Amino acid sequence: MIIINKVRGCFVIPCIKNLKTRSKLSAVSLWLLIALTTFALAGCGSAEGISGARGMDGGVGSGQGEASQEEAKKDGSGDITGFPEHIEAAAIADAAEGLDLLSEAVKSFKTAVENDERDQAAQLADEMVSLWKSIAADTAEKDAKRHDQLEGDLLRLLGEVAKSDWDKTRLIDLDYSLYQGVRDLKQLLN
Amino acid sequence: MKFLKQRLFLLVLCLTVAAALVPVSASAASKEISVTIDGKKQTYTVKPRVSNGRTLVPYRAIAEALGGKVSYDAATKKATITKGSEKVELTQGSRTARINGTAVTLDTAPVNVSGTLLVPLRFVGESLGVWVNWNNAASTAVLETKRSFKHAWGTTTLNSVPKRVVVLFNGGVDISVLLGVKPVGAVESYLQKPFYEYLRSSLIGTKTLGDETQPNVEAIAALKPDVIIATEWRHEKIYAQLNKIAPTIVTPDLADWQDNLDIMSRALNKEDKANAFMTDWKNQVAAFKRKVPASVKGKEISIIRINPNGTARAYNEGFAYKIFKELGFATPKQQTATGQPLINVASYEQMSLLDGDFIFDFTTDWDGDGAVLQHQKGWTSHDLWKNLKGVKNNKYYKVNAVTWNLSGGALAAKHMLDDLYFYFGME
Repeated sequence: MIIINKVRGCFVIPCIKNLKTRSKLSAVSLWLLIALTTFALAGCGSAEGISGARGMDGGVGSGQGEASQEEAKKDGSGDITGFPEHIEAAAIADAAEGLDLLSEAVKSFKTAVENDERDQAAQLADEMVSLWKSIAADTAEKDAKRHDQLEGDLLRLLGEVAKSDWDKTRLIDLDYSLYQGVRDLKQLLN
Repeated sequence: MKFLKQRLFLLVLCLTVAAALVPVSASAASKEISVTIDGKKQTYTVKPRVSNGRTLVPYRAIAEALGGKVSYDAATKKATITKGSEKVELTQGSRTARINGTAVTLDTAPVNVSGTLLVPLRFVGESLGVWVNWNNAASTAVLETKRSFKHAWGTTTLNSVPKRVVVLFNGGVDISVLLGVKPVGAVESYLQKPFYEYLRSSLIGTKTLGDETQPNVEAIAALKPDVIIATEWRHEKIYAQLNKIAPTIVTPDLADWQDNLDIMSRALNKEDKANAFMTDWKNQVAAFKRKVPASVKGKEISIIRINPNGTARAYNEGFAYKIFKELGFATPKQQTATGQPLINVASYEQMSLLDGDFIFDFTTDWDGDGAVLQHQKGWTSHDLWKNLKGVKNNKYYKVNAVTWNLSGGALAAKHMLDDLYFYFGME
């Protein structure tokens, strides 16, 4: 008798109780086990992986925007945990300029989202990442807590942009949080 | 003859060089500077003068006029002024002075003019607890040894500029930070305790005194304050107790940050800072009005929140409302028609009361358990909500409850104004 248990949505075969069946099916069952395990692992990853895949394939964003989402590091849940490596740090004079430019990009992002300009919004998200990369070290030195808050918001925003079904309210909430965080950092620099 | 011409030429050259070296301040000093103390014009044997932007006056005259005792050590050229528990020491030619033994750096050093030591007027005045202001139009330094504040429950007189300040409402805490006065005690913030994050770094060492609605009177007394700054809306019941502890100034309107700033700056001798802030604020309001897009100008703004009991509220008064009015926005007509400053929206059937061209929501999760957010979800997922003009036009926004509502101070006002550049897509 083959006992199949359902664990976390995945089907696994923990043991085969009947010894006779076991001996007859040893070779077949081994292949069956491999096949089922492979299928089960693919199924476990699919819940969030599909949304990630949808984000990659189903998104209407520009090639650049989509590529950046594809290249973003994701953890097992599909949340973006790192910035796309292909986006280079922006060339800026100093952190003050970087924050000014970031603030403008944040405002423009809101407008793009509200106007359903997905390409534009995706590009602005990339621009924000580029600017952030330029100033992250300086901001971490000034205020580690705000740095972490801003970085987290930006990562979450990227995650939302990557989705095919945009939650505009969530996007604007994150954008607003970024706006306030950038403002706080600008005041610290002054 | 040639020799005489050369000497004449050298003389003219020297005079020209000497004239060029005379500092601008000397020409500025030619305008007579007056000093008044409690309205009385002061006269000095040696006239006051300005050095490095600071008015200098004879030390003995100013100290004695302010009720101080003076002594002078000719060997060390040091003047000592004492008044009550305050002791101020100044030395000719030195920018280092001492107040009760602690060294401070002056903007300008005391100077000797015709055998009289002239000392910085503002520094001495403020060291001795006197209100000092400069009337530029009249070239007059205005000193006051006491100030009185009328309020709903009487008049409070301060006999010296307070040093140990207690503040009993959140907007006042914000304002004290702006003015550079760290209170010895202040009420806790509603969220982000003990103090709102945007203020916290300036309040290290300030004792918390409980909630704005119920401050801890014993804790206030223990701080031995010189002044307590309270507000009419909150502290009527405890005013008598507070006034026994220390002179208590009462502001009339919790949400009127501009009036609160004016009152507090006058009490704390920080009018220069307050005036500078208000000048900047007015410039920013004017700039906003110039830049606001035509599509946004004069629109009806609905300011709302969901209450912990599940009802909703629309604001036709309060901090955010006043700012929108100052910026030239309108109030939704259906809200004005109720005639109520705070409109309670008890059921979904009254949903239309929440509508506006823009809807700003500062619902606050007071208890941190998410219950009010569930109520909020109930409102915003209702079919009637989806029919609101502001919602259909995607102009519903959840905003920062601290800076839009819970704080109520001058710095918060600036944050809110800046937020509007985000929400209205302005440069």
